[in-house]
Amino acid sequence: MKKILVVISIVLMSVLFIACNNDSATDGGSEDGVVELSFWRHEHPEEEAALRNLIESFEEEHPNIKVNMEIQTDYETAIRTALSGGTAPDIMQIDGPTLASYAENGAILPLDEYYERDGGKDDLLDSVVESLTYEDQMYAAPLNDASVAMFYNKKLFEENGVELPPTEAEEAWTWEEVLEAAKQITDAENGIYGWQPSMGGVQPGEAQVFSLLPYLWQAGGDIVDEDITTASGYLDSDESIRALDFIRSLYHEEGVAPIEQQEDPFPNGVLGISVVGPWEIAYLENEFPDFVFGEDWDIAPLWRDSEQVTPNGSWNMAITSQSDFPDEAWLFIDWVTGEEGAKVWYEKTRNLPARESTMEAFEDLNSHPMKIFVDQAREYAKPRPVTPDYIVISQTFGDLFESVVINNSDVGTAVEGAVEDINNVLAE
Amino acid sequence: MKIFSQRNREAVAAYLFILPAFGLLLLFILNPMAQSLITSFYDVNLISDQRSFLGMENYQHLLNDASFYQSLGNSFYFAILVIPIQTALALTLALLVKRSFPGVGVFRTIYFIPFIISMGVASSIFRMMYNKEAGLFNVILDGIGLPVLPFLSNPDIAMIGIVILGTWKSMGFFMIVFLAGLNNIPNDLYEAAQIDGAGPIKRFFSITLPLLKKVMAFVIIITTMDALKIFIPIYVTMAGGGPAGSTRTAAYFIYNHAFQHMDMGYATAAAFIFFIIILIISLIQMRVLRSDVEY
Amino acid sequence: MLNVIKVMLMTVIAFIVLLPVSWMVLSSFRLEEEIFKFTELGYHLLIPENWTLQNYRDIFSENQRPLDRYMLNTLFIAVTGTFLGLLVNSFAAFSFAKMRFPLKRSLFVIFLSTLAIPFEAIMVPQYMIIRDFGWLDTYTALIVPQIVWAFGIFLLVQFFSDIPRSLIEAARIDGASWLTIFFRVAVPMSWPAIITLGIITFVGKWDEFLWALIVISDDAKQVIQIAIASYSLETYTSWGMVFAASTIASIPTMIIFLLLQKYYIQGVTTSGIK
Repeated sequence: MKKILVVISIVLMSVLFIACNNDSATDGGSEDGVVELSFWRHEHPEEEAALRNLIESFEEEHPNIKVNMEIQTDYETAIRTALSGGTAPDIMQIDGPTLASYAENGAILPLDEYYERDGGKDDLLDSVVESLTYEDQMYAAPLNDASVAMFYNKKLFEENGVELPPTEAEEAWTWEEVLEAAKQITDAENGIYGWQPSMGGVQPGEAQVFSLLPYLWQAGGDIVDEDITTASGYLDSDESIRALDFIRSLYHEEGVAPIEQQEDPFPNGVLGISVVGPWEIAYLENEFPDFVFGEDWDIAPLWRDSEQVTPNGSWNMAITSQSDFPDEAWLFIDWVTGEEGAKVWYEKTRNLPARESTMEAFEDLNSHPMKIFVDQAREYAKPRPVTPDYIVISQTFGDLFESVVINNSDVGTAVEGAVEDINNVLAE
Repeated sequence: MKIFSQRNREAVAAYLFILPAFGLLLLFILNPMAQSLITSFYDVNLISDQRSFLGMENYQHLLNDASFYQSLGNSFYFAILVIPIQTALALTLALLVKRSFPGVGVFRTIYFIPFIISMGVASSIFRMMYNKEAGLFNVILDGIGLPVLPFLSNPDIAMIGIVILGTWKSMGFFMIVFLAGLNNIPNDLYEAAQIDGAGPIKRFFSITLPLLKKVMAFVIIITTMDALKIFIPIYVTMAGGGPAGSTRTAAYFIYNHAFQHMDMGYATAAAFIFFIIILIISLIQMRVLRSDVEY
Repeated sequence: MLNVIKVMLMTVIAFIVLLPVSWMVLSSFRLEEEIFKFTELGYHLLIPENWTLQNYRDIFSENQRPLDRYMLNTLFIAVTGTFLGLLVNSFAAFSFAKMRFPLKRSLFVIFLSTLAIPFEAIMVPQYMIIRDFGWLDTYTALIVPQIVWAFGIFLLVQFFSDIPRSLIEAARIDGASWLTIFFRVAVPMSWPAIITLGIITFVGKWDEFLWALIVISDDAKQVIQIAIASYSLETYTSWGMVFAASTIASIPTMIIFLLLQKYYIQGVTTSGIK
């Protein structure tokens, strides 16, 4: 009997042993002198098409380099697991707010030397460069920038005899002017609301935070100090509290903002004013062909308070530190995000450019409505704090907003808890 | 002597039967679990290859983390609601469709359908149905004169929305588990009871329920484990534990710390505290339901 | 009378259960702009205004992600995984339920305890093992790590343990081996339980998402749920395509269930019970 058990154990152990040693690296090696670069990104059909185009021209120019683009569903989970397991691609797409934590953990390489050698950095908007710079090094090359503006239902404005908002960024409405219009449009009995001050409504996520942080900045407040060491005196400053209390009042005393509304409230005609970015233009045109730009809806600059500030930051490209071919990877990144690539990118995707040269090159970027976003990006854009703790800060701020709005609780008290949470994380 | 060797041979055969399962378990589940346990004593970021030893620090930190307790509370709240409701409904359905009559197959299939819709898609559908203004669920409530239930924006009732979704999704499966169990109860027992004059209710409590004990034990223990680990509806239907954090469960806490904050050490420590809690509950349940393996 | 009430009750439950599913299926025949258009109680809340097959055409004509290819991949994984799972888990369950050996209880608790750990907590180390085996981007990675399933073992143990020990003793005395007893006695007496486990294993495989997401990056080897999820983009979701694909994806499992459910009909004929 014992013999059999011994045999079993040996078989089992050897299976484990063989299995554990079957370590086969499947990295894009350079057989016959051709370097294979792997490049991962998230799902987006139009951008994918643009990149296929750019890959084709790149491979023609550099016959010794081949780029394999892989589209990942649930991209962040996929790339993080791959980074963790040492199976990451050479080039990764990276979302602005996560940059610092990837940089801090040594997952991506700084690009400063490449930019110094090949140029192209001066052409980038300062606010974009700032959003991609962590501890004085720039870690990613921007595909494009992003901004948000005031999308308004023109029909609802006209029906209620409300004056239309301006088209020039420098003439942006103040909070009070927007509120005044929102009050006149709101018809809560019929489910029509004037103003959804948060992007995508009241639901957790970075979109919400992206659109809400500007209120603090516009009021003259902030979430943390410049050096990102504390939230005390910033998130709980009078200015920040006033901003948060203003947003809260929209959902309660003023009654112009809905806590919950149907899917796509804006194109379905039950929301007067929403806050979204340029990507929404294509979405509305494709999915709601009966909801016509210029007739049914239009775009005005993002509102202001004592200051005019807009958010920025979008998707970028970075070289992972696991890459065996960082130099070749840079060549591809520069091809896509450099002056010429950026023009192709804009032509195919209509994303807000991060380069001055692209902004100048296209007529439609200098006319309504894209001009609003371009002017905002040039003049008023402010990046979110670049810190590895941003993810926690963002979640804490989102929680604060939700609890204040949903529970209609006192802002002064609610910020205390949030300040403590953020300070704890920053102290670690 | 002979009996001894007989037993011995039985034991060897038994081990051989278990061996494939155990080998795979060791390799693909116990081994990763051990590695996660080790991780829980370190400060390690998901995407970094650096790690530094912390000892029990992650655990100490967790025991002082109010949001961790809150997530445990939410998990238990959900489990305590869903276990009796789902089990009772599943058993009722099984009793309704157990006997053969024309068309019974259609009913069985209909009750089972929610189980074959993927959890991700089902969670999205319920998110849309629960919409306060335009969701099918609330439009119908409103249409028949009942008050609407804003599961997505009222923190007090949000978890009820998840209970309804969970029950809808899983009761069909537990129905067929009960059906398989009912199938094992000999019909003559019922016939004898009927001759003795026992009514349907008496027959249910004196025959069906006692003879379903093992199946019942399985259903309750599994429902408890699944309920405590609920994740996808929290992530999808409630868009990440909303409204105002009222549906953040322990599994969501673990996911959030592991894949959002990328704080692997902290997340695995939370997972092991949670693991111990679930295990203790399951063992108590096994003891209470006395559904042990035969000796 | 009682039967009429019963059938009425069953019908009402069926309607409630089907409501979300019918909404999904019917919405798959709507254009995107119509899906959220109707917000009042009425005919069009469920029934499309303009019926269209566009969503179905879209999911099958996607060049990058053809749905039929993904269905075949998933079918292969599901069938293989279910077959191997049933074999391995029922062996172990039989031994736990009907055989005597030392350390049985401890071993059983070890098996059961693996159900108590959230998958998110062991996903990364599991991924590393697959990487070390060189199994990334292979079907093996989707099949082998999930063959053993304590849930299935637990389910079958509950049913196997109902088999009278005397039956097994009798077979032993006749000189039958344990393997023969397993196949000739245990399995035939437990078909409903084995079928139940088979169905849920199959459904579980069909539902595979997170694990497939991280171990498979080659588009050609991807599974169906990934394809469905890929219709959801960062900025918007094509709900029509999601619903159409989900509808198609639930058909195979439904057919299997319809065919196999005869095993849930009580074996002995009923008489005299109304």
